[in-house]
Amino acid sequence: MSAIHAERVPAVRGALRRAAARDPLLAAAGCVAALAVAAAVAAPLIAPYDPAGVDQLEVFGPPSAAHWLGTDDLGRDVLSRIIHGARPTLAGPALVVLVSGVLGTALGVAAAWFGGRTDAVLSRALEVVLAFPGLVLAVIAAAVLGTGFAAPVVVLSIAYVPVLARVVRAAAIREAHLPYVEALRLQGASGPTICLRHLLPNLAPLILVQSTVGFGYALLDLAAVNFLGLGLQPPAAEWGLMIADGRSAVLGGHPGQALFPAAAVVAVVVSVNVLGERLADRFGLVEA
Amino acid sequence: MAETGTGAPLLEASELRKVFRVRNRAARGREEAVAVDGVSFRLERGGALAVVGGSGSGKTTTARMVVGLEAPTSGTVRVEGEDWSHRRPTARERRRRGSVVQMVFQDPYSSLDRRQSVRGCLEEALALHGAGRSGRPAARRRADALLDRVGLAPAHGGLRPGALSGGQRQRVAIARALAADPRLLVLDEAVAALDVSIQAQVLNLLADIRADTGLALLFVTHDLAAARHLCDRVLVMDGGRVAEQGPTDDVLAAPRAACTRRLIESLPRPGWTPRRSIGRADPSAAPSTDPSAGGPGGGPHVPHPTGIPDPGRTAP
Repeated sequence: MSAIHAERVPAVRGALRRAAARDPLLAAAGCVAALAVAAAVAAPLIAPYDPAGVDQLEVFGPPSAAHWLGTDDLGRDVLSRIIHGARPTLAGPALVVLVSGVLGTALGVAAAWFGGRTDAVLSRALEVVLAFPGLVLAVIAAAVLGTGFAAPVVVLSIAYVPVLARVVRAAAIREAHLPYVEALRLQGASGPTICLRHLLPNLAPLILVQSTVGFGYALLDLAAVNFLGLGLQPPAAEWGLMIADGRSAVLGGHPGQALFPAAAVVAVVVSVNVLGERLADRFGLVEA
Repeated sequence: MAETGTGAPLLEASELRKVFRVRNRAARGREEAVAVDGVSFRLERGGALAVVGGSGSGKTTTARMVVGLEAPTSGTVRVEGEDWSHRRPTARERRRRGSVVQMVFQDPYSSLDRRQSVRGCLEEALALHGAGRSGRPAARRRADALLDRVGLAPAHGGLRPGALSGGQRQRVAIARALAADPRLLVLDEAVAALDVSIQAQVLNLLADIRADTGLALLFVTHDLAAARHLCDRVLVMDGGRVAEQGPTDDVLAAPRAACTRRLIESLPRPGWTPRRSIGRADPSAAPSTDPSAGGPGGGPHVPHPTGIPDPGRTAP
């Protein structure tokens, strides 16, 4: 086992080093994203402390060997809370992107394919949804549905549909007017066959890039919702909520509690945007 | 070759008319653009008709109405006596029509799905026309046979269109059309986007297929030389109307319409010279053209019998 590792590690390391030398920004973004995902997946294994473990003797501890990022107003380990907080912080936008991606793609392709009245009705409906900022909808949802993890995710999933649907629709219209689609029609291929077997694979790179960028926005929006106290409630560990909790401590001379989760949000959002941009370059897309 | 088919002709277009409504914001209303205006022609089984005209003459719109991609504003398209001009056929109906009429498009770059392999493309077309599921050995054999028919190797089957040249892609498009085993192939400027030497190869391929299978051709082109090579009858369009039609040789030898004469004069001379001059600079190529060729001298305007390099003898 260790022998295999000993041979492989230098090879992997060499490949990574070459990749990093070619595009250091992409390499850094990839590392941040991978770290965040690893933290979310393996939080209980990685986190040195219980994220809810209160220790009154260690309130506002500075970064130290025992607590790398210090402790917060209740003496909880900030690093452990960031690691555990990665779960809801990343799962929320992932769900938003997944749900709005499926719905947006379906509606966009349908509008493009059927055209005419269907397109007009769908497009106007999407514009109506688009007219409401996602955050405003999330606030209304909190009032109607109450706080928690699910309500803002559901509402943002719907709020994000038009963004993707409109981009997909425009690309699908372009695609559907290519002669190969006419050739398929002349062959007698059915509409669903053409859409699923030909349009979707050709739209996939665009959808992937849009979803990547959308993930960053959704993360920011959900963190904001939680920051405003309309989503998850204390003592849950979530980055937006942690920033809110640490707000008052900043003025008290203990910025760490708010600063480190804020840095985590910024790092992940910037990384995700870099990844999206590089993907768009890779697929030859001009980012919308 | 006016071989009279039994009963109805393979294709009969009568008084085809297509009006496009164009929104004109500046004029605050709609304008009507008449693309095709009263075009009638017939095509017998196994025949080959060239539809020739300059750009904007309505030839492509005519072809699109024949295959059903555009619905005529008025007039009818009858295929084997059956009226095809009613709107919006179902997928099943399109499949049935597709087994009679197929089309090859102008642009070989966008007429193939860029994310589908050549074999996938052919097997999909075969599956739609009753050759069994794609991926099965039988479908694979038939796809390979189609590749062979259009002069491609089985190895080309694994490639995506991006890895093929323009000429190869157009061969794939022809193979895909042949997968349906149609009786009529509509070619919409099918060689216009290709290099001249590749054009000749593809035209030769089409001529071979026609000779072997009796496939009828409706060949839309602006290139009279190509039309002459492939088709025994020609229909010249101008401004959406039929300027003249008749046997290709007669029309070329004694053009009656002014637009036909213009088309003849517009032919690039090097295209009329035999293939041996296509290679490196051949000093005899340019001066070999009869200076009076474009003139009113009547007679053959065409120094070479076909106006296009000999079919069989390829490979410089």
